[in-house]
Amino acid sequence: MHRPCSGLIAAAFGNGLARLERVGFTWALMTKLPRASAIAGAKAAAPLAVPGVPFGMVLGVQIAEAGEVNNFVGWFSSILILAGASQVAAVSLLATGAGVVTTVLTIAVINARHMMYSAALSGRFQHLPRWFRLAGPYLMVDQVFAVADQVEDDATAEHRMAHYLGAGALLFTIWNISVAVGLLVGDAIPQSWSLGYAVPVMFLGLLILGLTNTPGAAAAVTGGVVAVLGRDFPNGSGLLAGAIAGVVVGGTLDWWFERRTSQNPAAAP
Amino acid sequence: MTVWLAFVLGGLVTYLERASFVAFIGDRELPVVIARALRYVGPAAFAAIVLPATVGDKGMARFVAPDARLIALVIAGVFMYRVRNMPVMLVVGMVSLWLLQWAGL
Repeated sequence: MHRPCSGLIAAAFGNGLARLERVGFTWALMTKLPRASAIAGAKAAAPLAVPGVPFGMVLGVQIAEAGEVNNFVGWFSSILILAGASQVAAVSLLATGAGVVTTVLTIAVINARHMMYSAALSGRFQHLPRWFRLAGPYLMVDQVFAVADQVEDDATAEHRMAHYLGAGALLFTIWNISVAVGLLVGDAIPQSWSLGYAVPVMFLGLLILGLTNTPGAAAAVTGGVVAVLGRDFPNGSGLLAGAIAGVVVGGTLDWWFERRTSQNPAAAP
Repeated sequence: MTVWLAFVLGGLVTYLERASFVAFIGDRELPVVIARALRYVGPAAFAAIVLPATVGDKGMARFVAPDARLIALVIAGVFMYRVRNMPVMLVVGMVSLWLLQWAGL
């Protein structure tokens, strides 16, 4: 590829900037991604970003009220972690004087479901460039996973990447602004409006969009019930327990139906 | 210092969890049974987020004596199942909740 600036850069700074040039090359690749796909990704993510606004503001208020946590540091944790539920848990732990180990462990457990998202997407991301597989996961919040999971299996690599980055960039921006607004404005929205309720409603919507068969429904029922029963598990691990139990039940039923169908095609569910 | 360290390490751990399979260990083919089971990550994980957030401290007892949050969730769910429109579903869920709370549930 012809890069007109590379000769100039080399002349001015010597060849030691080869690495910088490689960064520039990656940037050029990124900016070449189809804009229409990025916009489609952002559009798919837009309704999912709305419930994040009151949620982010609640986190902002919580940071402002936590004496132990400096306001800027608390907001910056949003950039570092980018996962709402774990940030709320971390700030409330730190506010009560919890140590580094407890806090990090809690964050790790609450966010462990992202490993399952990563595993679920890895097959479709396998052939994407290395830079994307390293940088993309940073943006993999629940909603971005849901959007990426819905992209057609035969999508081109460029469409898949641009769609993902469009969705991720939108959610990243709105989330971090919402936390800042909560920090600065405080309890601007009355508690009685229950705007936080939009979060479970949104996840229910994502759940229903992803439901295609009986094993999926069984996975959802199992995941929900186990998470409710495990709501007092240490470090918020009830969520993880529910997610794992749901996948095990869904996967087992899927395997069982598949076997029954292949042995006796007439008994297809 | 504790706070900084907790956030930096928490961010690192979260990134590593997200990157795990996509960036580092996804190059080999997964067994078919596992790959098929992973299609249920979405329903399982999202249900594990939704249900505890809706029923709260009451747990499964909420299903015996449903409150506004649970009923509104069912209404929004049935709507979504039929219409499959996320923005409208959010409105339906919130308005149902407000009406049910206003009705004293």
